[in-house]
Amino acid sequence: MLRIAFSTLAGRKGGMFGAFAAVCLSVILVVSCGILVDSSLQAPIPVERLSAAEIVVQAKPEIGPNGNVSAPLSERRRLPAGLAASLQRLPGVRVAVADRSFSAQVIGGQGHLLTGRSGVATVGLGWESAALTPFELASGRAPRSAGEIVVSGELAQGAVRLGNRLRVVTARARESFTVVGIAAAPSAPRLTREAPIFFRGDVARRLSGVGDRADLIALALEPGADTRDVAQRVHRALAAQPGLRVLTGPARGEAESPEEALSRDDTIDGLTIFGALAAFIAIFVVASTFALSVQQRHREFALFRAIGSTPRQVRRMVAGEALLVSLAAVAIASPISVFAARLLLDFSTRTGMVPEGLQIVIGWRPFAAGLTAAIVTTQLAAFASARRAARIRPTDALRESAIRPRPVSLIRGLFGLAAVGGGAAVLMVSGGGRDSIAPASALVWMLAVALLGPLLAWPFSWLIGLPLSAFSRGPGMLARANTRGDLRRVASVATPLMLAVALVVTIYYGKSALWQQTIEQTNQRTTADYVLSSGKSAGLPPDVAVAARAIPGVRQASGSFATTVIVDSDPTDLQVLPARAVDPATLTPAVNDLGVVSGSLRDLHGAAMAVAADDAKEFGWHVGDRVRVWLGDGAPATLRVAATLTRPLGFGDIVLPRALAARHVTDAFDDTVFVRGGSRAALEQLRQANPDLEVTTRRQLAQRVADEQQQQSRAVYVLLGLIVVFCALAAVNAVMMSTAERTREFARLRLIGADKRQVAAMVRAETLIMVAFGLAFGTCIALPGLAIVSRNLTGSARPSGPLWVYGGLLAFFGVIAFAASGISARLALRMDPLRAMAARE
Amino acid sequence: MKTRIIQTAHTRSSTDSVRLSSVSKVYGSGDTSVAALRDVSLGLARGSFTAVMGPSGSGKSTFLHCAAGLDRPTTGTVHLGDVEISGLGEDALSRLRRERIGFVFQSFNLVPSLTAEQNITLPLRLAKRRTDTGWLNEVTQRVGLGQRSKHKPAELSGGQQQRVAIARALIARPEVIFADEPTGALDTRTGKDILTLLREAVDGLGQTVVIVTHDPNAAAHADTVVLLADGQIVEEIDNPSSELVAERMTHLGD
Repeated sequence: MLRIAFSTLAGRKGGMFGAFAAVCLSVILVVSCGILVDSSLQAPIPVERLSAAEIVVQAKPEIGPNGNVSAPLSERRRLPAGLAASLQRLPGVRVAVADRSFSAQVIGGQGHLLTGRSGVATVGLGWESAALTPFELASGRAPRSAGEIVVSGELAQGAVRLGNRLRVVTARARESFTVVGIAAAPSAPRLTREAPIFFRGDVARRLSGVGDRADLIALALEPGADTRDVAQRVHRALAAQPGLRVLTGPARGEAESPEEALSRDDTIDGLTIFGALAAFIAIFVVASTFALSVQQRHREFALFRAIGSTPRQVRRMVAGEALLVSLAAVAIASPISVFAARLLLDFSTRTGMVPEGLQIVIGWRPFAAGLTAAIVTTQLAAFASARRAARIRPTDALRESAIRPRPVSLIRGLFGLAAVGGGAAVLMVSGGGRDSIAPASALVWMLAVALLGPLLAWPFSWLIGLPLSAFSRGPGMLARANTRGDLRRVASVATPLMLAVALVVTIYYGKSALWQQTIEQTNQRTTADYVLSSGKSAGLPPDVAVAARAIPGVRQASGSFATTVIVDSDPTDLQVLPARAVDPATLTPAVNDLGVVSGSLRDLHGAAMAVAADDAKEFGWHVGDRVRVWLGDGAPATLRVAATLTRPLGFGDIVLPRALAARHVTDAFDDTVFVRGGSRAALEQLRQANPDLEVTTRRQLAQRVADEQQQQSRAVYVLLGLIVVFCALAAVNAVMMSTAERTREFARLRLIGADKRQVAAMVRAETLIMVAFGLAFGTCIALPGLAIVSRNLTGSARPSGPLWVYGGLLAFFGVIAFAASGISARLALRMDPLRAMAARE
Repeated sequence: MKTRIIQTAHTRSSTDSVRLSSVSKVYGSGDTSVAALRDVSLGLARGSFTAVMGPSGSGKSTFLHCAAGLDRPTTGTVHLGDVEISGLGEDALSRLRRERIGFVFQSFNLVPSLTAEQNITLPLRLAKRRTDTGWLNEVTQRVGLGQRSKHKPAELSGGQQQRVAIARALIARPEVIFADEPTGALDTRTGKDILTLLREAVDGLGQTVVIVTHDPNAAAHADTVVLLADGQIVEEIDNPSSELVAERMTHLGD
């Protein structure tokens, strides 16, 4: 049967090209996403500072208290420093170091911030950590007394000399140190993340503020020791300690920079979601295109049946053709996907969705995924349409008029209805809150419309066709009748448009609602006049808020920093909530009005927290409850709910006392200081001690929050744009496929007296109906979910956001569809009518 | 032996519906040129039923093309009534086709998504003319559609579909109706009914009909049979019988 499939395919190259093109496009989309995901997964985080430490022991940067589900930690999780001593004793270990790094801003003699090459930030380390790179003294000596430091040669491009006195600012203290040594690491890779400053061991310990805990235990081995053997011994030695992991080789990079590991994981999540969406859409498009192409060959299948093929043989022939088409499409699309992946990487890097420097790695997995998806989808689509084709009665081959079989089979109709019900169910069970799953109803309804499309198209064409046929009696009436007669064609053009519109409305306007609400809440909440923040460094030390308060004219100044809190909302789910650590004594309504609805912020001391009212409702918490949560580094804490508040967006869902959170974050610098009163000039005086300080007004804060939201969303918008382009191409493909087969129909019309203009007008009217159908239904299925999200966020079900995006999308699709139909109609009209009538269909 | 008939006077009369004057059609150029029609002159009188016959390659398709204005002759002129159509542009020709020429094909005549009645009135809609309901009813009755005018083509038999096609050709009261193998896809009995219908259109309505066919039985319904071979008219047979036509066709190569 495959041989017959091959020859029928070869003869029908034109007809199958549309299906081939659809599969090709889909494969390109899915595989290029897959390549990016694969590259991200495989991209190692480079090991730089720990190059000489063959083994690194780290506390696992995730928690999974309930066994099956885990949540990543946003703050560094520390482990007991005493482990270094016990590991030092293991054979093969030359030195075991309890490594602690902490943000240390260095202010030079002229009063400006010193940084490493290319502006990398400075970090403080104990001198014992120098052996891990290894850093060696290029000049001077190691720090002997408490006031001495060794700096890396890159600091301030080598403008630091032995004997210079530098001021070092950490979260705990502001002190001056003398440079007694300059170190370099010629044998190690260049440090791109930080420029180290080495203190005497105990000084580093004091400044880091983590006490007898460390970030990592790093082991440098004896020369000739076997890394794997020693690693196994380390494993055994640590068997009693839960929650640790032993890393060697490239995996150490994750321990050296957990922040990069987190961001990479976010990237992978984002790309995977996008890839899944793309695959979802691609499946729809391929299925509808295939259905159309099988339908177009209705008469040919009838012929096969008439000359004696059994239904099974026809089915196998269709399946065989589908297989050939998908194989050919994968073969052509694969090299194009590589090219497309590079383009996608460019885009993603520029919009910040993917970290800089990610290299494309071409593995086998994305192509395997693309091949599987192509074959499975086309086989399923072919199976569904072949069943219909196989049941054609042989006599249909001899009948003259084109017969359109019943558009929706019973099974398909039942599934469609089930999907309608499913979407409604999603809406009903979707909770309140920001993360409502209500938008998922749009996805389920997409399936419903795709299944029931032909049925829905009938009344729609009838309705929209009314004004059309009244307006232009000939072409309009024909258009109305044709779209009602060929419902599958309508569906194949309308489906991609519907999918794209539904996705854009759901995702873009969903985000837009959140974004607007964040700005609004920030504006309502911020009563401070000025906001202090730091430029590129880690933040402002806590004494900045104190200094600001001391300025005459300043009524209040309150510093805070962002962190996270993990909640188990139900036993099967861990939620990571954005939190903010504040100074309860100074967080008065003078600087921030959080909209407290129950309890009081005055009770926010000790082991307590304030919670966003929506979250409290979702978790069933009340003021006074004691709740178990985990802080940013995974440390468990039982906190008393002190208050609930209504303006969390842009601030934090959970508000903690800073004293509680400070020991459980990577660096306890303030990222924002809210100031009421005073003047800009006075506040800028603070720059003398903090060169990195920036003073902004309340208005500028809202703008900055908005810009940040935009930045985060930009990657999503780019990906949405890709899906829109894909759907436009799919719709164009369907238009061209269906118009190309109508040469005989156009010829007939011309022979009974229609001129080319009238035929073209008919095609335009049909396109209008099909496009309107897709866009209208796409909007309808997205609106309910969006209304619910809007209501949760803003209290009103009316969606918010700029209208021009929606209008622009409609206009874009309209223009593309009309252009495609115009061009394909013109091509189909070129042939002489009588010759076209006699030609093969 | 080829019999060349002298042009009789009636071929130059203005009571012709269609008149070809010295029409030649040459495809290609130079060494590869093919003369599909060679200096053909023929007049088809109003109210006549003519059958054009010939073996394949005889030029009968080209004849139909030129006569209906679908192809421009290389030399010579074609007149539809008093209008010379060989020089008209596409738009003018379209208007002509919807008002003054009717077409019936062998198959795929009808728009599948329209009912029979809508198919019949389609040329009028395209011409933006009102439908005369009385005339529509009469035409529907004459072609014998009876109660089936609200049905779609898929629900009609082959013969019924051809009836609808003829009704559509008649509705605009055209100068001439061209039929390309109208009974080719039908069985003999149905085909006979269709030919009888065309005959009635000629006799009862004064319609001019030209059919192109290869079936001597079909040709026998006509007033005149024009035999084409190698692009030229070789014989005109008045009041044909199917036996005579068959015999003439067989001896065409002599």
